[in-house]
Amino acid sequence: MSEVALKLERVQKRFGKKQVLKGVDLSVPAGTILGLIGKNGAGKSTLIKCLLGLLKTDSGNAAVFGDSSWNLSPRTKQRIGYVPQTFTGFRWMKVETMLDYTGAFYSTWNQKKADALLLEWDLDPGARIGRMSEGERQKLSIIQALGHEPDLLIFDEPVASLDPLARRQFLKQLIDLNMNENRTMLFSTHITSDLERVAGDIAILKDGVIAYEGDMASLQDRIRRLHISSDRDLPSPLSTPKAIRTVVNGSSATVTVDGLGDDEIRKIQADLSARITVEQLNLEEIFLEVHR
Amino acid sequence: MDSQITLLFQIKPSSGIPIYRQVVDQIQRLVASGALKAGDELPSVRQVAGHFEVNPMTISKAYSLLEAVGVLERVRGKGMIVAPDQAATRSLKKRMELVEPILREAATQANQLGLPMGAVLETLAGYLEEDSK
Repeated sequence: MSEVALKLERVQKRFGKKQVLKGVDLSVPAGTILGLIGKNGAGKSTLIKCLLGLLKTDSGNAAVFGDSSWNLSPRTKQRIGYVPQTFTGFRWMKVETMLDYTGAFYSTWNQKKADALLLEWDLDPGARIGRMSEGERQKLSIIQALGHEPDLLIFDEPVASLDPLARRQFLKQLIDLNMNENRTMLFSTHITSDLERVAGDIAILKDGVIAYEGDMASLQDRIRRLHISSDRDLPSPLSTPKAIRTVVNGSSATVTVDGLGDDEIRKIQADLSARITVEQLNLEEIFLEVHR
Repeated sequence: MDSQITLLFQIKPSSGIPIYRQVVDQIQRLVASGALKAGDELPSVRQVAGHFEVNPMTISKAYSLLEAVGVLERVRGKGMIVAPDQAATRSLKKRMELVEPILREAATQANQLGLPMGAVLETLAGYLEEDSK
């Protein structure tokens, strides 16, 4: 049995009148790369902050490596690396001073690794942080989080201001860390093509709960689009089992289904005496379909 | 080895086809066509994942599936090799199964466009001939 790195049980969180998390359940085994997606304001950052103990949950349990999030022990904190959405370091510092400062908090700080990443990512150790671009600050945040070689990495929109080259270097880092050292990672992002590459599991946060969770391939097998065409007009409304969205246009229709098997598709084909082609969707399309 | 991996397969993350499926299909086709021969060593999960920057679990899932259907074999110290006995993969029926989805798709589209069967078959025959040269 592998260790559970992250666990949320019926987690609720409200800000004023807005109930952001309405009972989130999520369990992430160690060694997983989990991609968290959701609309703006869906509560991805709130979920992450509840996990890290930066926000107190209203009810339910949040835990990291079995340690309650609101009372993380220093030992567990040492095992976590976190890259927040916006840079939270000191802008008046130089890059090298910022890293010295960060390193001082960790017994496992690996300066060699930090130096290698600075070089690879083309960051000048003597540069003043306030004068750098947002993308450069994001790179620095990532180095700060990787430097102490944590077992768990949590990234909140890590790549938003990175250029395509830096993004690919970052993804390569993640793959290497996961492959060589079995690190667990959770990252939220809007760039679904990155998740298709690196995420083993995907969780979609919608209306305050985890609407879908599972590995990328099973998600793609579940949410598919049927293109139905017939010689006659199709019945309207067209009722298809497990449909999540149906558009009928005379003799043709497009139906998005959730978990409809191939046998069932053949049955519909026979019942309607229509032709059906099945379209596989990429993560961006799946994301759009479940939010329509 | 890196250049060999790129020659072996392509991965298109946003194509809608799950990545493990893309790997499984391509290796099956390479074996069926004889481009990969019995006993040939495959690049390790680590090499493939690192090269394409994809999740290692995805590649390892593809390899395990290929092992389960007898296309690949796990050899101690060598990793994955193409299984020595490929009679099953090489059979006409098996090879036909691999092109069936594309042919079916072509048939659907041809019907949607109302193309006469003769013209479609003639074009396909032309491509087959052209490609075998």
